[in-house]
Amino acid sequence: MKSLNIIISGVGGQGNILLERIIGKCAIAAGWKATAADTFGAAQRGGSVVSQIRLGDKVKSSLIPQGKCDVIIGLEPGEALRTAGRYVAGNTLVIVNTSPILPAKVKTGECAYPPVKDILLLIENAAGRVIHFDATGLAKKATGDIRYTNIVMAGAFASQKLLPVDLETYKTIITETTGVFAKKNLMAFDAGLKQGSA
Amino acid sequence: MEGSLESNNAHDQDFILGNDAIAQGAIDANVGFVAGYPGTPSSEIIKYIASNANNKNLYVEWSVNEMVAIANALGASLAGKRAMVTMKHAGFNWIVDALSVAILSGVRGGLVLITADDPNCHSSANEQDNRFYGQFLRVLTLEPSDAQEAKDLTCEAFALSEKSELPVILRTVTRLSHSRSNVGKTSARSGCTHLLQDIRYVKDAERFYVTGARTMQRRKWHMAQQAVVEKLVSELSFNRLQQKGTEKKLIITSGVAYNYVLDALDNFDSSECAILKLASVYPLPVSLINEALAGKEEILLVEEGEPFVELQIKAFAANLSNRLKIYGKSTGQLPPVGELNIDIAAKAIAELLDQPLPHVALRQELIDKTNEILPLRTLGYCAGCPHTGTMYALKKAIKKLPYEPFIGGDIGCYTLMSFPPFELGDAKYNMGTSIGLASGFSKMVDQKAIAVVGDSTFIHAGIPMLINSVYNKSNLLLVLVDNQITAMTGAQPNAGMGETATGEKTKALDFFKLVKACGVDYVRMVDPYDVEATLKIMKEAVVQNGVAVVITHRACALMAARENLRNEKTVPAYRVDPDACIACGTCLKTLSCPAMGLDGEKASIEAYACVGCGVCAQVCPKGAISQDSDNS
Repeated sequence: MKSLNIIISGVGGQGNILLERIIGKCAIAAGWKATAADTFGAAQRGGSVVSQIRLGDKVKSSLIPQGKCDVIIGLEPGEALRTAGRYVAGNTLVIVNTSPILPAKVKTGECAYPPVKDILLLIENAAGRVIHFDATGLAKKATGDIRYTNIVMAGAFASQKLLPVDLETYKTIITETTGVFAKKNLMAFDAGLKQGSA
Repeated sequence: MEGSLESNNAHDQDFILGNDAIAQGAIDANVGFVAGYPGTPSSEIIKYIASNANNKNLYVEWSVNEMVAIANALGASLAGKRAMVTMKHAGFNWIVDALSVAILSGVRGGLVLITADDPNCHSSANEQDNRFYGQFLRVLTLEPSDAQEAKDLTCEAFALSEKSELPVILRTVTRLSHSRSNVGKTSARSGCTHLLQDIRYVKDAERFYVTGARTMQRRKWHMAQQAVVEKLVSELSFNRLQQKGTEKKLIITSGVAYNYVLDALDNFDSSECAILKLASVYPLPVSLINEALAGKEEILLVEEGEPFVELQIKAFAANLSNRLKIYGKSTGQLPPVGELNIDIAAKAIAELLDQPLPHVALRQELIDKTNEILPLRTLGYCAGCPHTGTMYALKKAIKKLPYEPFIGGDIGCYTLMSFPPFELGDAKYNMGTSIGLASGFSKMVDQKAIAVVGDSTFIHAGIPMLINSVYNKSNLLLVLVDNQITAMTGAQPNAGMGETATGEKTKALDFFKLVKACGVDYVRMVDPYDVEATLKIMKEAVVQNGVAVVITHRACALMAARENLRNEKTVPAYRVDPDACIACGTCLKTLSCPAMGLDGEKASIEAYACVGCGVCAQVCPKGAISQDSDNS
């Protein structure tokens, strides 16, 4: 039975819905069924956002049962950790962007943000495998714009070959989905792909 | 990053939202008129129709409120066209007044009412199961389980409405409206191509002009029409009973809960359990229910919201000779509040089937550790949000008062004024209420009360409240925060900013003149990016007698950024001069701008996130923040 449960966790404005749509469309291109539940509302107001994606040949509902997530794509390290406790299993792959986005209370000095290495250690102890790198920095380097971080993460996800589609399918779907911004999105995708394969 | 020029891929499957599917179903049904007011999780339906309707015979509008939307839709239906109204659950409360009479007349063109309920209050001030309105109004009420069915059932709903001559309610929930899934690109059912295009309007006052003796005649017609509705429901193929016939146990489910049930059943031996999946939750398909209940001993109801079907089944079962055990929300097997999921459904099913619940260890230690070390993200205003300057000035102005004023809040982004760093607002309920709350409070306590309401909400429900305050000589300050968009629900155009749902230019409401015409003597308009001017006016306004109005006028920063991107215009970011910054924290603590942070002890600005509003530069006591001319 084909089945893949994916969580994309991040901060509002990081583009988790675009990433979700790309992954979902790739799965459909592979002949799978896809469902995904979005967080709206907090999307651009700095809140935590979680997209739950369920792919497979007989998925029905869009919410992932606890402890049943195969892949967590953390667009932000703290947010990757925040979803881990509820959803991670011993064989979960976690792909983490190590560049934090500080919550308001941390910026004003009221709270501290935990060291990223501590966050990674907690995730590593719970999950099966962790891929971590500075996707924000890589987006900046590859495209000059950190807003392509989500697509860098798409590249890292694609490098793991968890969906039975070739890289051209990812690229076609990214091109179709991102219209006038396709060129930079493809540059970001390639950067993430290379990083994930390394 | 996402571009605006999206094209569909070549496959025959879309990956779209439940809301998009509802919209496509209506388009496939040749709907002629669509109206609604934005409200999460319903807002994407009209957006989809406005951008995908490839049909000159399809008219779509954002109405100024739901009551206006239903009145317009009833007019379109009288003209013989298919009509649809979309709203969130709270919006439905506004249409009940018109509907409660319109059901006595019935409809000509099919009328479909989409209610998007929000179990678990992801973006709502209350949980509300609008299926009860179906029972209250005695109209057919449908509940699709996934996006494909949402598309097919919406299309079918128009035909059902015409056959029953009554409106049809289609209830969706957040997890359907805001979930994407495979949806076939082919048109929904071909049986739905009925288009009353060249109908000649025929006056029928006996039916539609409900007054005098006609009222009770129509009431009798509406009751008699129930037999037609029941017959339609009995023929509805979307209601499905899955059983061999020998099972002693039965799960009755509807809507998204059906999918949770199916996914949860993967964990069990379900060979001795029948499933009745209902698409019509009011009225229930009587013969199918009879067939399902025959020979059963235990029944579990799994539905999203209140125990709506459950209570109907209980009433039904009371007349049966065999004793049934009925479990669900009214008996504690499922939680009475919040939304369902696979885990919750699995627990209830394990009890029903008397089988062990597959054990999934929750990483409670990890959850506890995460909560301990990771700060929560509170919602706040975007970088450059005009509300930041407004709330800064309001907070400062009321500090000068000899007492703490009462502040009524309202529905929109400015609702977030209740959170740090502003922490303004004493009470907030529903659309437009802030002004009435302030007015009533000020009548009982001899001090100024304040209401904060946005442009769209003011138009929706605030205007009568303001007129009432002036008429009855209240003592209040209305802060009308006009950001020229309905922002909180995802940036829908409104009557205040001169653009329609389809992007056409139209007249923009002149708030200043309107407020003046309501009889308000003290009206001031100010740009909240100008902190000094805003503060001066707020200080003056809070000590006025009678009704005073301050309009803060500045476009939503996200809209301004979008406009700048379109025009290839860049606004230079601000930067902090670390030598001049004394690390007092004033900017961070009073504004909490997401573009600002700490660099060591001192304030700093992330240039990519700064939109150049300059409010921080104006609150800095040392003049350490200035616009960066090199970063343009």
